[in-house]
Amino acid sequence: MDILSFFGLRKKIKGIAFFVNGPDVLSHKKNVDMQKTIKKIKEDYEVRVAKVYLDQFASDKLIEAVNNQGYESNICISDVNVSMSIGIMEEVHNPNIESIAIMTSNQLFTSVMKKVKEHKKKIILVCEKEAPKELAREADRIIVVK
Amino acid sequence: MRVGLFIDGPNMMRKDVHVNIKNILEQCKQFGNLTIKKIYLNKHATEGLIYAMKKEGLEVITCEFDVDIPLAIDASEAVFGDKIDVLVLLTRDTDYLPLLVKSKKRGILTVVFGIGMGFSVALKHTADKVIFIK
Repeated sequence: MDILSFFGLRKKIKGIAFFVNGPDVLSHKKNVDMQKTIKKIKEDYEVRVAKVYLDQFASDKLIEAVNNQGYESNICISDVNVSMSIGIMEEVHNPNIESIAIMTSNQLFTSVMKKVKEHKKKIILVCEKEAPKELAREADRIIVVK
Repeated sequence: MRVGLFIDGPNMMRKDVHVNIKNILEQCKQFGNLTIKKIYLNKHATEGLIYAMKKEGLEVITCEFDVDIPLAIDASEAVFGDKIDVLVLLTRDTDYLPLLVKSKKRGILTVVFGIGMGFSVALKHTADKVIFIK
């Protein structure tokens, strides 16, 4: 955290909606720290929406952990990617949201990212390690959470 | 009333499902003016099918991968951008359930054209109107 952020003087961007593709990101192997992730985003943005999309196989423990960290959990009975795309499009039309952040490695989201940019909103890609090339190409900014 | 028609091509335009597009377009007119008419096809769609759809006045969107996300994006754009009053989907797929729920929340009439075989129960119970193609 820099000195401006410490005194709350850093100008924060209007608002951000953060979307996490649960089945893609929250696997046991990846071990992503969701608390650290949202903290990192909050350094520069005002988080208005934070949603984690999970499939029907998500355990109660995972859902509880997600909610405890300040995210809204969305359990999808259908395809998570489609549900998340619809959620993103809803926030694109929200005047209180200036930027959209997505945490996924699925290249199918390139079309959603293009659509966000068409609406003159910033698209931020949040990733754990290296960002997938197709997604990185469309992103206005990449935040790496190590 | 502005009507937006979105067709899930790979799901409905199959040899085992006989869909009469002319008939569907005619039935859509009972809800209002068809302002958006789009069909989503994948890379396996034949030239003949693409030509036939264009001939019916449909905008053909050919997708490299899955058609679900492009269809969901365009339909959401129409719904959240206040471009339509009636959302008509031609599909059997549960994936579009959140779209129907959110559209209904915004006061948009939701209509689904489907066929009995493999039709999503969730869609059937969520849509304002379900029309089965014979």
